[in-house]
Amino acid sequence: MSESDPDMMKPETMKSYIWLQTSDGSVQQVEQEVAMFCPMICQEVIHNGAGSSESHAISLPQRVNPDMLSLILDYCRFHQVPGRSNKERKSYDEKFMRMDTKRLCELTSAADSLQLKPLVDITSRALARIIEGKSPEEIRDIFHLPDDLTEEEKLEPLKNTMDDPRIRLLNRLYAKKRKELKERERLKNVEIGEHVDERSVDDLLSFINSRDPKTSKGKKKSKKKKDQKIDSSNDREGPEDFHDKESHDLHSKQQGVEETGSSMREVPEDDIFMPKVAGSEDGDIDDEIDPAMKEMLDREVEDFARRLNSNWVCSLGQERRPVHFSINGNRTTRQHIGQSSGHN
Amino acid sequence: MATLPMDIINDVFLRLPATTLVRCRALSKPCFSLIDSPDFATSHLKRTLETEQHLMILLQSDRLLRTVRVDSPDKLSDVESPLPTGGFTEVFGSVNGLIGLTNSPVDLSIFNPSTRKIHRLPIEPIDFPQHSITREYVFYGLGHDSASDDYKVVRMVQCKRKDGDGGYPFEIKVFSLKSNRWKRIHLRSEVQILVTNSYYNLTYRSGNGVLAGNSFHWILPRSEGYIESNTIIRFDLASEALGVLSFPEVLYYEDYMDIAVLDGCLCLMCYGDFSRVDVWILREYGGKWSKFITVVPTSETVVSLEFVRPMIYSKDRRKILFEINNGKLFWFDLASKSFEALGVKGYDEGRPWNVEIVVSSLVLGCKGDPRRAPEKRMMQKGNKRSDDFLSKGFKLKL
Repeated sequence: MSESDPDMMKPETMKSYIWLQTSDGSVQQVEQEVAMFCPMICQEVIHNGAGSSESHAISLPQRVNPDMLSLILDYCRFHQVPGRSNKERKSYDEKFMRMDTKRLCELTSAADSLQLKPLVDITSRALARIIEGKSPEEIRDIFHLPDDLTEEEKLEPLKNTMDDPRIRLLNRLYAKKRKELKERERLKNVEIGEHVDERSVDDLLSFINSRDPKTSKGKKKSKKKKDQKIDSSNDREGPEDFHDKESHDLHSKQQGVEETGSSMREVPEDDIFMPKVAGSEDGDIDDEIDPAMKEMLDREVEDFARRLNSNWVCSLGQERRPVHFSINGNRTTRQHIGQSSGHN
Repeated sequence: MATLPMDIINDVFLRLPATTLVRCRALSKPCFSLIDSPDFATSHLKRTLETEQHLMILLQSDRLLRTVRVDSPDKLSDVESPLPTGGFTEVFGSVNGLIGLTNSPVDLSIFNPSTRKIHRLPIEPIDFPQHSITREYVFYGLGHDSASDDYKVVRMVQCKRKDGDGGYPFEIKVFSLKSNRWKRIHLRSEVQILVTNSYYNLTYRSGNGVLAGNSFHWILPRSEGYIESNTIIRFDLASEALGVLSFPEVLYYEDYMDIAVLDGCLCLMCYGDFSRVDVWILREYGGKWSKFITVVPTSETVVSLEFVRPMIYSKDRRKILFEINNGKLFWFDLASKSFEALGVKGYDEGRPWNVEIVVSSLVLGCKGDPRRAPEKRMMQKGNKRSDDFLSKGFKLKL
């Protein structure tokens, strides 16, 4: 207690103050009882003896900017008064929470870094209430979350998606498929424009009009392309992650084309978030395949699925039971599944 | 602007109902792994049980499943029926967010209506031939065994033909989710004698076991001229033993009696003469029963009382939600003894509904039914192109 301490000399200062420094470097002094309401500040004062003067101001965590600090201090100033009733406190809290979501997030973050648990509690509660009504984009925006899940993961998330080699394969193939569909899309437009010189008018006409599987040159071209793609994908370890952007583009393209009749019931909440996978545009491409080939491929797919399916069933430790391929069964017919005749 | 640290997001997520969490799971990778983690599911369940938040009422009628939040009864949501068509489904039991569904006595499932995850139990045949049992007189129970932290399902079936010893044999089997297996339970001889002494005709929903004190309870009803007095049997989940629960002698000869649980306490409802129902309560398991309330029909709202079942207290504990007759829900004010309809909008009063209170939880996980996943993927492709593409991959790799 040095005599030259300016605070001690001032007769009118009955209170003592704590000095705090915020992330932007500015320093301010705060009444001791208010500041000590924050556990983190309390710790600093008691254990490290900090905050007693301007030069020894307590450096607050980075997440506490002056704006947030003033809010937090308001909160502390109110609540540190012992005489208040629960009703008063609750009512204050309610009013206090009224601010826009971004600020609320900042406040939660700041309160958390100061270990002010009661404030973190009410802000979390407020955030939870806000989130319940929001769409995924909005929630991602609020929390700054990256949109880094694949379409499969969003639709039918499986545990350890990347671990099962079959799933990895499926994902990879699915990705290649999408890239390739895009390619074909692009090519189709290009073909009609540029290569008109190379083909006879008849060829061109038949290609454009009928999409006849036997004669269309376009089909052959794309088939070859597809084979190439598959071969290349199997020759080397292709990149596993595919860009979501691509899938989004593909889906948005197809989205307008066909939306199917969903179930009669009220749509459960999470249906809104499932991207609608339309089938009809792809359905056009289907006609190009030789029907006999189709049959064979259907059987192979069914086999594959059954194999996948049965292994899963076994691994769950359940008895082997006949698998129901009832596609039109429980889930709503969100997707257009009319073509999947081969499965039944 | 700085991102919120993951533990704050954790904090916020813990306060959300499971249905919202299922959606949040698809937001981004960190959320995905957070919500999938068993620790998160456990803390979430603990929290919803403690705070009694997000409680839902589940209504079931045949294949229709509907849920409504207790605190906002105007929002009724449909839950897609997880079971395939056919059979007539009944719900039996609700614990920690799971409900039991029976398609038939051998075909049971555990379902979480919030996450839509279903677990089909292995088909477990009944020892007795089909003509010797009455399908409606099967006892069920779904509960959580706190001793082994396991979810168990109990099924008891009685044969209507006497065996060599002159009794009506009982078959008791228990399913454990952890081991995913059924197991037969053998009875101690004195219990065996007691339960096989008579053939019990069960009344409306009295086959559904009531969970309290880590045990299931059912009433073995008396029957004038045949069975002298009522008995309450209990199945202890930890020891997996069947026993008897004591209750006031004055109720031994009650003709119509039902058992329920309110806030963890067992309740007995005695229908005197359908003009009033006495509710007894066992506040402490192993303690003494006491008379709780008497419910009387009021002329406007509740006209007759054929089935009365207390479900939960209101937040301020001044009212009790009752299920009356065929699935109608009323708040009973303890002070004024009056009824007030819950007022669920769009709830088809013409149908008979089974009612259960369901907690919002992530128990059983968020995964879609893994058996449906490859199917779904096939569906999503929806077209042969990708199918043949897949099969090509299949040929080359698998």
